Amino acid sequence: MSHGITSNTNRVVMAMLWESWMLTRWGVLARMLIAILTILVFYILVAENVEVITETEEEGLRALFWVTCQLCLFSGIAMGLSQESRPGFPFYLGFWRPVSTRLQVLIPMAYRCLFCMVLYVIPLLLANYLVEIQQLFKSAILLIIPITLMTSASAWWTDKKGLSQLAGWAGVFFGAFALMYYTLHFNQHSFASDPELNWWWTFSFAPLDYLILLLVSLFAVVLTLVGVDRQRHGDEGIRLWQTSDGSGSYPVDANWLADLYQTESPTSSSKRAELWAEINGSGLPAFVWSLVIALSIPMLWLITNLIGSEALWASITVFVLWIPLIGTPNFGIRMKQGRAYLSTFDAARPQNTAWLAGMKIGVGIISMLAGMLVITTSLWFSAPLAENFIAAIGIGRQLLIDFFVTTPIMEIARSLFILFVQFASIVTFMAVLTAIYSIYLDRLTLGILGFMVYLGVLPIIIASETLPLGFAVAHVWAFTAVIAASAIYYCYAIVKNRILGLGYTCVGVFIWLLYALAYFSRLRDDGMLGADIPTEIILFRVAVCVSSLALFALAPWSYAMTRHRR
Amino acid sequence: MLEFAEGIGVVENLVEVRNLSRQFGNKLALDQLDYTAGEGKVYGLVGVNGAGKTTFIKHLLGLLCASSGSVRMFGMDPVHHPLDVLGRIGYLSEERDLPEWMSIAQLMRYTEAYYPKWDHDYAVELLKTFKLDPEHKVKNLSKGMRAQVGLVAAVAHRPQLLLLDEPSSGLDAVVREDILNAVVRTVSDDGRTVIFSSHLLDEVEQMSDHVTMIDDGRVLLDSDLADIKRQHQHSSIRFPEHRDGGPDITGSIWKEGDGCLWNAIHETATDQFATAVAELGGELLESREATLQEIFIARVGRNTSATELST
Repeated sequence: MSHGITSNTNRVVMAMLWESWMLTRWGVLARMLIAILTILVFYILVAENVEVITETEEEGLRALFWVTCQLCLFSGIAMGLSQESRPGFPFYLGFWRPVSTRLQVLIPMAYRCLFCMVLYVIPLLLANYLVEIQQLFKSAILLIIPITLMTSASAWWTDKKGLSQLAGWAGVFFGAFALMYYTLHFNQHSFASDPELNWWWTFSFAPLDYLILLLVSLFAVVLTLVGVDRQRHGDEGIRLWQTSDGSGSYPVDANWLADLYQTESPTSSSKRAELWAEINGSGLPAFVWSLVIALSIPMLWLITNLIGSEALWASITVFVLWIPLIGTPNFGIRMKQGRAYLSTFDAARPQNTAWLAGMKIGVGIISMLAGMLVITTSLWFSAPLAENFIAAIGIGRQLLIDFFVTTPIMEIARSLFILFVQFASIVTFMAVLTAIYSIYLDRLTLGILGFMVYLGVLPIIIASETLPLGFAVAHVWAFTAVIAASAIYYCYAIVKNRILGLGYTCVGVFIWLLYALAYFSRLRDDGMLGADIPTEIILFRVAVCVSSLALFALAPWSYAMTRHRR
Repeated sequence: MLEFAEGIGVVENLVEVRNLSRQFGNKLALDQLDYTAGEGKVYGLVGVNGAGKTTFIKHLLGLLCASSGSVRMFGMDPVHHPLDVLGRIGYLSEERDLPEWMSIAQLMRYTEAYYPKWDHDYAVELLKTFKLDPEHKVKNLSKGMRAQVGLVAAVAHRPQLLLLDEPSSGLDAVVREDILNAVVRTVSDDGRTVIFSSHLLDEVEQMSDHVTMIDDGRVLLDSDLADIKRQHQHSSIRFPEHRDGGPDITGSIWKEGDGCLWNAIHETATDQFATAVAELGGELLESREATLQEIFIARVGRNTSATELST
C-alpha cells in the first residue's frame, strides 16, 4: 500500500515538474542564451583582445562580469512570478486535483529555486572558464534561494489585486534589500570608502547570515503555503474596508482611489465616449498613482533624513521609483483592459480602428508623461532632503537650472519636441509589439530569439575573422533600408486598406517631417553631422529618425490586424 | 424589406456568406461555408464545441478576416466597413467580455454613445427585469449577471441584427429564461433578426425559425426548423429475425438498435419508408416527427447527452 502511495506521489511530482517546465521553458532558454551570449561577446570583444590587462582594467572587468551575473540572477528570479496576468497561485487549475496543497506549492517553488540557480551558475561557470573568477560563485548563490522564494511568495500568496499585492511586493523588495545589505556586508563598506569594489566578491557568510537566509526562506514558504491554501478554499482576502459600490464584497484593491475622480461618460459622441473610457480606464489611474508616488517621495525622504539611514533612503527611493515603471499593471490599476491590445469588447464597438489605436496609445503617452512630470517635480523640490546622501543630486539640479537659464527658448522647445516624439515612439513601439504579439505569439517569440542569437553570433564571427568587418557595417545600411521601406509601405497600407484617411496620413507625415527637421538641425548644431563623423553613424541616426514614422504608421495597421485577425 | 447599401445597390439579405473558409494553422475551422439570413427571423446555429460557430460569428462581425470566400453584412464587407456594420449589430460574446472597471450604469452610458438609436427607457426596463443594480461594478457580477448586462447592452439600441454567441452557456434555468424572453421580445418588436449559436438543442428548438447545423466547419443542414422537422421522421421497426449491423433501408440516415428492434431517422415520407421496410421483411411499428436532437445526432453521427451537445 505504501509503495502505491509513493509511486503515485512520484507520478504527481513528475507531472508537476513537467507542467512547470512547459510553462517556463522558453523563458529559461531565452534567458540562458542571452546570459551566455553576453558573456561570450564581452569576452571576445574585450578580454581576448587585451593582451596585458592592468590591475584596474581587471577590476573593471570583474565588476562588469559581476553585474552581468547579477542580471542573470535577477532574470532567473523573475521566473518566480506568475506565468500569466491572473494574480495569485499560477497553478490554480490544479486546485481540484487530489493533491495536498503542500505538494502543489513546494514542487513549483523547488523548481524555480533550482532553475534560478542554474541560470546563475551556468553563465558563471562559463565566465570562470574564460577569465578564472572563482570568487563570483560565492557572491549570490546562497542568496538565490531565499530571494526566489520571497519573489514567489509575494506573487502567489494572494489572488487579490491591489494593496495586498503591493504589500507583498514591498515586503519582498525590502526583504531582499535587507538580506543583501546585511549578508553581503554592505553595512561594513560604502561606495565612497572602498572604490576598488573588491569586497563585492571576497566576503564570506557569517553563521548569523546562514540563519537569516534560512529563516527568510522558511517564512516565504509558510506564507505561500497558507496563502495558496486560502485560495484553494476561496481566498476572501484581507478585509480592510468596505467598498462603496454596495456589492457587499470586501475586495482589497486600488479601485477605491480611481472611484474618487470618476466622471460620467459622455453620450453625445462615440469618439468622446472612447476618449472617456481610455482616460478613466488607463490614463487617470496611472496619473493618480504617479501623484501618490510624487507626494510620498518628500514624506519618505523626510523620514529617512530624521533617521539618517543611507540604506533606508536608497531602498525607499528605488522602490518608490520602481512602482510606476514596472509595478503598476500588477496593482489592480486599470491599465490592462484594452490598453495595448483590442479586447473583443473593444473590437466589436462601431468605431474606427485608427481612432481606437490613436486613443489607446495617445492616452498612454500623455498619462505617462504627466505621471513622469509630477514625479520629476516632486524629486526636484524634494532634492534638498536627499543631498545628505547623494551629493550629485545637487549638482544635477544646478546643471538643469543652468541649462534652462542659458539656453534660448526656441532651442528648449526644439529639444522638448524631439524628446516628446522619441518618447511617443517608444510607447508606440511597445503598443505595436503587444498588438502583434497577440496575433503571432510563437512566431514573434522565435523571431526575437533568433534575432538576438544573430546579434550575439555576429560579433563572434567578426572577431574570429571569418567575415570582414564590412559585413557587420553592411547591416547598418540594410537596417536603414528596411526601416525606410517599412515606413513607406505601412503609410501606403493604412491608406490603401482605409484604416486611416489620406488627409490624416499626410498630417502625420507632416508632423514627422517637422520632427526630422528638428532632429537633424539639432545634430548639425551639435556637430554630429560633420565630415569626421562616420557615414554609418549618420545612417544609423537616419534609421532611428525614420523608425518613428514607421512605428506611427504601423500602429493603426497592427491594431487593424488584431481587430480583424487576417 | 429591401435595403439600399452604400454603393452596393439593393440588399436582399442581411447576411450573405459565400464559400467562406478559414484556417488556423493546420486546422480548417470553416470549410466552403455558405449562409444567408433575411429579416424578421430567429436563426439558430447548432454544433458541438469546436464546430466553428464562434469562428463563423466573428467573421460576421469582421473580427476575423476570411481566408477565402466573402462575407457581406447589410451588403457590406464587415472588415472594410466596421462602423456601418457594427453600428447595426448587437453582439453578446461568448466570453462575456466587458470592461471590468465600469459600473453597469457607466457601461450603459458608454455604450449609448455608440448607438444613436439607443433606447434608454428600454435599457432601464431590462435592467429592472433582470434585477440588476446599475451601481454595481461589472467585475463584481456573477457569470449570469454579466450575460444579462451584456444582453442589455446588445439589445437596448434595438439593432437590426442581434448576434448572440452561446447566450445561455453556463447559466441557470431562470436566467436562461430571462434571456430567451428578452430575445423573443427583440424579435417581436419591429421584426428584427436574431442569429444565435448554442449547443443546447431544446433552446434552439424553442426559439428558432431557422436552423443551421455546423460540424467541422461545414454546414450539414440549413433550413427552416419546420421544414427540417417535416423532412425528418423517427421510426421504430421490427424484423422477424435477428439482424446484425442493422438493416440498410432506403432514405435512412441513421439507425440504432439491437437484434430485431431498430430505430431509424429517415428523410423519406413515412409510407415510402414503410414500403422499403416491408421489402426487407420488416414492419413499421411507429413513426413520428424527429426531434432536433435526434436529427442532429443522425447528421453528426455522434452521441450526445440528453439535451447538450457539449463534447
